[in-house]
Amino acid sequence: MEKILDKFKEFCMQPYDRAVEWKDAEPNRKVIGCIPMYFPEEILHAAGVLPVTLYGSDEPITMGEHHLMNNACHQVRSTFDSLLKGKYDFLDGVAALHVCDQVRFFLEVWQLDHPFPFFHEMWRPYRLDNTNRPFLTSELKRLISHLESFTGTEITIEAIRNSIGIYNESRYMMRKLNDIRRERPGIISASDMVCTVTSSMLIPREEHNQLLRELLSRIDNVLTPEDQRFKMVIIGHLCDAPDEGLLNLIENEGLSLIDDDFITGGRYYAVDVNPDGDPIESFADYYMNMIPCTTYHYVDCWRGDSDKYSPYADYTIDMLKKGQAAGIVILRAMYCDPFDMEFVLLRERLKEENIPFLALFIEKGSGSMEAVRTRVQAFVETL
Amino acid sequence: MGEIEWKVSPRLDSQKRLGKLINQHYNGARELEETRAQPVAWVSTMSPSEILWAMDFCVQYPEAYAATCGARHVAHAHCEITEMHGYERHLCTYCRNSLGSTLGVLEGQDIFEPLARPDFLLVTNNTCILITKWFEHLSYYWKIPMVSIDCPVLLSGVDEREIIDHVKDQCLDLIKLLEGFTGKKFDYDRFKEVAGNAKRSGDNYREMINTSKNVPVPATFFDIMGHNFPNLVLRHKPETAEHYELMNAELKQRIADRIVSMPDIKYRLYWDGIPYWVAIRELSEKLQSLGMCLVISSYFELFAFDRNDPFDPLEGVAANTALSYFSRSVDYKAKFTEQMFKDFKLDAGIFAYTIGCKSGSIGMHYISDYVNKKLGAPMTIIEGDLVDETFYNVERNNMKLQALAEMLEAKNK
Repeated sequence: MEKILDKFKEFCMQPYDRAVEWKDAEPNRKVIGCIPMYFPEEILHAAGVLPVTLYGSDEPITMGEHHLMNNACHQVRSTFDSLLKGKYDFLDGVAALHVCDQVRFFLEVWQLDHPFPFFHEMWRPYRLDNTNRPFLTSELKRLISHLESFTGTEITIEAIRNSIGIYNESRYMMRKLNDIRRERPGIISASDMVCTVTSSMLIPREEHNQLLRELLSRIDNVLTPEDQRFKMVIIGHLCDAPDEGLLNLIENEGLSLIDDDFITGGRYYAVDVNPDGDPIESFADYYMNMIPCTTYHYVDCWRGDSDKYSPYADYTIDMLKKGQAAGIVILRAMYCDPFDMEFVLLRERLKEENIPFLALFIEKGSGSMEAVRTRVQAFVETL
Repeated sequence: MGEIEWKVSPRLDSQKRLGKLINQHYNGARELEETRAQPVAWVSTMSPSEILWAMDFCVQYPEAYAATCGARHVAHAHCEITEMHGYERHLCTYCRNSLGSTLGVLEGQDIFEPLARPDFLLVTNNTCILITKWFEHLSYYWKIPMVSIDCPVLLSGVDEREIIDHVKDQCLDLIKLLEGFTGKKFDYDRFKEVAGNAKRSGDNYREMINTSKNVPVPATFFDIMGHNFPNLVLRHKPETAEHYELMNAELKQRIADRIVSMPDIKYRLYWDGIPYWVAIRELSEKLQSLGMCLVISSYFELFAFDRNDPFDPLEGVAANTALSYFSRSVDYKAKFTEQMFKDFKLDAGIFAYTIGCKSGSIGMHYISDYVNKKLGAPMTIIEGDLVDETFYNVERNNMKLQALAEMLEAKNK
């Protein structure tokens, strides 16, 4: 099991090496970079393209600052920095769903400054209901049509269904691994869990599935000592992979992270796409049934006749109860408007429920880990 | 480009009429606090307010209120209230001002001329998605219903017609919901009347903007910036179109009488972004001292609403929202700005970066570089905030403006 986890870690440390190797193995292979979050990778896969998710890097941002304002979040500035440093030169295209204001405007600047042969922006209505569903399905059709003209190949319904099956299997196995983590705390560290999920977005999915299958087949034989730490869920709706050192620090200070809502975690594998029926409608269902996202507007909460005001908080609390966790660690990215707004409501809900929580602002490449350590230690003492 | 042969008269007569219109609007709304004769809606700028006016709502704009609070230097106090409730400082200060004043009112604090209490909220997300979150929090604090209209960006490859229809479908949902909310049937004849008034107002507003093409300009950006208020807040009333008719007549008369509002104009400038309401005086004095006249801004486009159609009001309001300047791509805005430089004969540009406004700031570097490369016009990016003065550094920005003036001088030698 350790060997497989090490492999996942290697993929994360050299995030695009395998994609470059895959591309070079045969002529006319194409790799498209996806900006987090929620892009329907299955459709790219069905077009014979390798989708890789672009997570920026931990390096100091030395070039990206000159092209974007400094109120952009780290993920956006770092990704732009990586682009300017040539790290994405192997890509044939870039695709993204407009998940927030920053992605929306940064993407446009990206394509204008450094055009790629394929560039696709997709609008997912922020208010998702039956009135807006036709626009979403139209956007999915536009993606398919754009990809077909770029690759010169028809994307058949069968191909999409096949890709959905492969990605569903991937999600199923990640959920299973997370279930085991929840039931047997300590069997896999939070940073290993993040690497497991992150690496799936960097290499051919079939290869990743094979490794996951092997990992799951061996995990039952792994012995774990009784975990004396406090069980915690960790959330924060981050768009990038949280820092490995930070997760290790939290776990080494007496907290056992048993579940999360990261896009490199639970948010990614929570919901499957229906493999049957019309794939376009299946993807529309997927977006309408996703786990709560702080960028969405949930119509039913705001019509004046509901007590619910934060589906995100409710989801988080359910996660905590399911894992019988003692509290919640919240990672906050600087300049993330949707989460900063949601945090005010989330805090209300957590106080209503008397749930202990620790909120930490994080910015890769800056900030003192020792200060974080002190805060974690102080939090542990309160439990 | 000396203007010594021109007479200088800084004050426009239309300012008095504008003040009266604004006071009437706010006083009328406050009376409703007592009488509750009409329901009050708080609405975001790009929303199809014509639908609410047709339903006899009193419509208030938290963004316009924030601008007023900024200009009166009271917004920071409202923003501080939000910080006490856990809101981060970097969030949009229009939003923080609005939530802070709301929380202040609900907690019984002394708040600067608060808006009449809302019964209903309407928001559209083409400005940014933060605004939907802002209105959700208003809904949470006031415990009232809200409707959000989803309005996609005009992405390349997306059919404009499809986006208009997407907005139109949501407008129909809104009408149905409002019928239930008010217990009244929607009056399409009244809708047409409102759209007709709004169209006349919008046409005249456009004419007002275009008078700034004149050299020299009869009124500066600072003189006419407040006149976007009527076309935003009162365009449904016939007197608003009349206001602009009189305004345009006055501007034309100033051109005929060779009257300008600023002496010794050396350079004509463009402003990009929402004005720094907290620093209007500092900016206007500094620019005047450097002979730089702010002529025009794409900011005016945000209040144009020039697609109203009395014969098909639903189509008109949906098109206003769907095709607004807010919904346009950075590429479109860069080309539009270049054209403005040509049409308004501009020499240089000031780009106003706002820490709390991600959507308005991220593309600024690109647009300023684009126009600079195309036309060779010098540009500067200054830093500040719309309504919270604690983000505004006078000295640093004055140095940038001074440097811009020096660049223009060197260029013209």
